Amino acid sequence: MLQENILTSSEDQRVLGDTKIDSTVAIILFLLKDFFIWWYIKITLWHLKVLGRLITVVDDNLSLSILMKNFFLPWRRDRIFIGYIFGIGIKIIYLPIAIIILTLITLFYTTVIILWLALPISTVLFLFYSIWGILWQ
Amino acid sequence: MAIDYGWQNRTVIGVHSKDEDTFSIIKGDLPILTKESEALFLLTRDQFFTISTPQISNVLANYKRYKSVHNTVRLIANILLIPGLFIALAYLLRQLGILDSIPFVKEFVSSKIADILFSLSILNVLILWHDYYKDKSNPIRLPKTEIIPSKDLEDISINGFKFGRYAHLEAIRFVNDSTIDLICSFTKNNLFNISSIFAYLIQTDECKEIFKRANISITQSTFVENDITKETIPDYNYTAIRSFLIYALNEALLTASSEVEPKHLLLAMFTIFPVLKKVLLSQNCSVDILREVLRYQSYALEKRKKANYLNPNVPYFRKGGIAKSWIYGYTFVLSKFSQNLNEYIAEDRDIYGIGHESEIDTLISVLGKTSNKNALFVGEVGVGKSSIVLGIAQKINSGDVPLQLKDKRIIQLDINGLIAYSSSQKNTEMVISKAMKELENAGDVILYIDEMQELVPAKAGESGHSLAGILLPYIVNSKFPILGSVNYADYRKYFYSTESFRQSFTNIEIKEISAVDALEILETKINQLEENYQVYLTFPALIATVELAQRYNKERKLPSSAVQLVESVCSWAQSSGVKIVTEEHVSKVLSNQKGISIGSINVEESSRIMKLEENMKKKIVGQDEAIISIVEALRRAHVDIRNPNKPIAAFLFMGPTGVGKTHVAKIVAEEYFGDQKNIIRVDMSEYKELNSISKFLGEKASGDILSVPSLSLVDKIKSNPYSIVLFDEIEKAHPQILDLFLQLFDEGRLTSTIGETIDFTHSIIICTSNIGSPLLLSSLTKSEVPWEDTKNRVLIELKQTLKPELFNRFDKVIVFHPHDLQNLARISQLLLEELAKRLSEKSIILKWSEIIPQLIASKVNEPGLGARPLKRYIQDNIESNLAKEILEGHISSGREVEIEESWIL
Repeated sequence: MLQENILTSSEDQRVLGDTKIDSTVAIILFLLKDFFIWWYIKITLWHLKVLGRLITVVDDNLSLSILMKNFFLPWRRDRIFIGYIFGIGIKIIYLPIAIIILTLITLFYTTVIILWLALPISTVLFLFYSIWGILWQ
Repeated sequence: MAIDYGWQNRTVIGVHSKDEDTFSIIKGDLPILTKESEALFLLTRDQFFTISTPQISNVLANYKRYKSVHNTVRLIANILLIPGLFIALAYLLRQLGILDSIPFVKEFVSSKIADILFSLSILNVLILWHDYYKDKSNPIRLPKTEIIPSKDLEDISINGFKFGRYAHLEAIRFVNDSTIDLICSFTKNNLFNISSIFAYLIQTDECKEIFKRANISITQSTFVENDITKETIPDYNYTAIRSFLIYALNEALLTASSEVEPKHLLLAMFTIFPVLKKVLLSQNCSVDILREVLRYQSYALEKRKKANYLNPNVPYFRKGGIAKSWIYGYTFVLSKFSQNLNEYIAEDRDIYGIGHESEIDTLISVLGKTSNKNALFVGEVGVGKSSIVLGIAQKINSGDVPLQLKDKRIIQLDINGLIAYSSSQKNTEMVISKAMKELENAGDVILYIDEMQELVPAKAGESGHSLAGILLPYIVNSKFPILGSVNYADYRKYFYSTESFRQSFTNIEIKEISAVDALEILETKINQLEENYQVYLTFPALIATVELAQRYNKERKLPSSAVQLVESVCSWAQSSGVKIVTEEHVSKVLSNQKGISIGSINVEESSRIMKLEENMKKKIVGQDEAIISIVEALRRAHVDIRNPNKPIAAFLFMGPTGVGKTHVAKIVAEEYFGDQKNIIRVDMSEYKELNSISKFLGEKASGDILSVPSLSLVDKIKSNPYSIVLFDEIEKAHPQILDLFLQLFDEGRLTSTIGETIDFTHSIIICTSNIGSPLLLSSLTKSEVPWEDTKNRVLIELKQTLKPELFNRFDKVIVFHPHDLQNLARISQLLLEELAKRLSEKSIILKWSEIIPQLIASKVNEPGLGARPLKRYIQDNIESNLAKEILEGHISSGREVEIEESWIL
């Protein structure tokens, strides 16, 4: 099958791309760019995904959402008065504890993410501060 | 029966010519493009991949430099890490006041120099961190290739490529470092030395492992033996690297790999260069097999990946947590005789339900309904009904199910466990009632009853009621979903006639899976089998297992038939000390199981088949045409070039009685199937009436308990499919019974009265007919009429009697010569030789003069009776006289006896 290209008008649809050939300086700049993109974009997004997964795992292990969805169900589906009282009562006691645990874990990991973001900047600032200190002396 | 691996229509490789401004699809040979204005591109269902010359130039020019800069940075980072560690320790000691006694150290630690060194060290830690984790946290992953819908392919061929609808991906991003390293190392002065890459790759451990799995050997000596030179695999301009990478990418996509690795480049070479294809062919291998090996490696790699539940790139299986049971009812009683399939499957990383994806989707939609959520899997034994339920359990665990099925658990009822438990409780009805109450109350249970038909004969101990009868009201009014499985025969027997049962279930028919799906299932078992049996399974062996199981184990279906066969082969290999299992071993084990010769032909068997004609001619007199036709059919069958969906051969033997039609059939059974007993004889004169059709197809057992059931054709062929089936005097059968032969000859199968499929694909069908016998006999006396004329007249008579559609379906219609005096004398000679052989066992040597056989022939020659009276005559006149002589003591062991003419005269 051979056919005319009816698509060359669109820039995005070109099959042959053009990329500039780089130099050693460009490679070093590329390494730096790569580092910062990784640190501040890729890995930060990855940390956010891990945070999401952590919340899912904690929620699953503590049966939080499943208990909330079935809050008014009696204990072990034993549909008698005592069953309702006991089932709802246990959940009233248990759920706040579970929510606190989930919140603490979430806060802890959020702190880790903030520290992560602050680490390169604070190190560079500390470096400049030290150099500045020598120069000032 | 070749396996369809499903490589087709998953990817499309095209060429873009900038000069001519055209796009075209590559079909047939794969071109290597070196012109810069031409480029290859690869299309999948949703993406298109490109690679440009500047990208290649960039890689070649900078990769080595990039690597050296990168390595230098890493080295500096590592060196600077050491003072950083000391300063960090010193900071700590200073805080603890330990450094007060060493003032000059304390002074240094408190200086700005130490701070600078420390902050540099921290930066280096970050760099090393980045280096180590950058690939792990964001792994490159090629997309999964789905089949491109045929309408899309049609659209491309009519309207051209609409690239706007695909995601554009740069192929170079998916090429891993080792591949790039390899390309850079073997490209000098703008020349890409692909043959050296090949020579290098075949020595790597990774490729050696691939070759071992594919049961081939490629070494340096292969180059000389197969003419692999710079002429057959030349050097190319560096621009050709684009083409090689696109083909390697194609292989990576087809083999479900996550990135383009050197092994994909190697595989691409096998697809590009005819000389390398030939190397594979010479070792009974193909690119398909190599691809399958790579696909298996990708699967094994995925399976080995450690399941870290905090890794967002791997799916998380929700288990419900510590308080899940609070909201679901107790199943104390049910737990005594059931198993939780979700728990059973949770730790298992095998994939269940392979090849049954559509059935799983149907089941999910049935279970998602608001009423009548019960489903019944109906299918042959071994098609994988239980694996579908495990597949659903796996999907529930991974959360990949609709809301109605989330957090459900599938409980499999153990019928034997139920009987055992209820017998200890003395009241089956009560036990079932309690268990059903628990199920209704639990709220999260899907009940699965495997082999549901077992409920019918199972009786409750004290009342004698059938378990099915006790369970029926619960099933009909069930408040929880019930899944059941049953095979076709039992479905018809127990379920089809019970209206309430039929109404309660949505039937899901489970078909046999395809050969490639069965192969995938075997691949999932490689590790387990190799560990258990201490053998190494090659892919040709696995492929042969699937193909042969599909062809010869028709009583079971795929995947069960293939799994059983591979286990038998592994077990045999272990006991025989075989370490590497190949396709020959599979053929051998199956041949032993079936008692026939299968698959590869060894020298001994080949010579036996080649001598078949000679051997048969020694035993059959005057029927050379019949012998040649039969031998040709058997040779075709033996080398596997016959149609596997038809009987080995279907012959019609014509001729008067006594010409040796049945004798020929017996000799064929002896020579080909190893024993004269491998012959199933059906007298068609018993099927003159239309109502005998049910008898022909295997009558159901009559109610008369005193009658001894006789084995029907169905039973006989089921117990020994490797037989000659001899239908005697077919012209006497009712025409509607003869119509059944059309299906038998065309498809190699018949359907019995109870719906079973009877397989005739391993049988030789021989029909006999006496049509035209008077004409044939008259040819003996009318020597002026040529034999060909008589034969043609007989065939015309046959065509007037048989329907043309039946006549045309015979592979060969053979008209047997009536025996003349000379033939009868030769047959007499053969019979006397047989007698002499029997006597030699008693050490008596029998001798006769040349005239004796002729005398016997002249005595029994009676037109219309053929050779039949010969045996009786020899018995009455020679054997009787011999017996008399032995009894009178005239003949004893070691004596020589000569047949006297007076015995005959």
